[in-house]
Amino acid sequence: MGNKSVGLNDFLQMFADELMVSDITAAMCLGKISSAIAKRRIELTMTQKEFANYLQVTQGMVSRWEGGDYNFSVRTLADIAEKLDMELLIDLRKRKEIQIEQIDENWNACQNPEKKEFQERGCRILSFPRSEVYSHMCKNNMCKIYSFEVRKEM
Amino acid sequence: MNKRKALEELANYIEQYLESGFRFHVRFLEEMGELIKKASGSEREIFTALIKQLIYVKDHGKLVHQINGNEIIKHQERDYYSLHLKGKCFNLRLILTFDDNSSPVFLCAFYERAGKRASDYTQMKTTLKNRYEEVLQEG
Repeated sequence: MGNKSVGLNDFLQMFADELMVSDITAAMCLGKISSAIAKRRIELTMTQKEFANYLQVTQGMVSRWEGGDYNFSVRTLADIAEKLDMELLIDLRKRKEIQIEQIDENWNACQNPEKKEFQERGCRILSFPRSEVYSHMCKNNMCKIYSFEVRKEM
Repeated sequence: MNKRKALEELANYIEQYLESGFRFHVRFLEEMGELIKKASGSEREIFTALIKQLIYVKDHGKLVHQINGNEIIKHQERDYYSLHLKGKCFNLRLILTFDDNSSPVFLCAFYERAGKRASDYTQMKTTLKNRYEEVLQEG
């Protein structure tokens, strides 16, 4: 019997052919903003209607903010942040290339790779035809790569 | 940087931001695949709505039903949560529960307007229970 569950990365692959990099960036930004606004409303123990009155906007507008389909302008975000006593941080900078810190060829010789142990350590498995690569993202934006040869059943 | 590499990095970033522990039943994936096919042309909009809900689940955990449109489905043995994904051309429900480590497990996806019987949660109780047990058995 095959696996009955998969991880987030497999799930996201369903969209890979349809998306631009900017789509993912925008979705993440909008999601974080929507969630932060909703979190603040819940902290203030307000309904959307009460929250709308508090911010002097319509309930429909609050619904759109939390719904994640509202394309916020920087001005709007600054106004919301001020009214909710929140900080607004926008950071636009050059993308850092992920550098490969180490390719440990010796690990190719390992006979019994414990995949589970690697998964528990937060490694991501990338499969290639002749090998499986385990990548572990470090906090300093470096990426450690470990590889194993796939053993073929004869 | 080519598109594929950039997408891989961003997928990795999403995964790290949300933290590991999100699990999806394979049938959930199949159901989502079918729903996305039916809403062809809205993939980008669905993705945005989906990422928003995943961030809500990360940030709010078992209080995710307090977000407008989401619901909690109380059952004797376990609570399930119904997330609402709504756009111009789609109206979807995703059902999840939380395991004993409070990690989310996505179990079922369906089109909300597929008929009263299809969106009646009581009809789905056995399916949800079975799928959750199948995921649990994997450890």
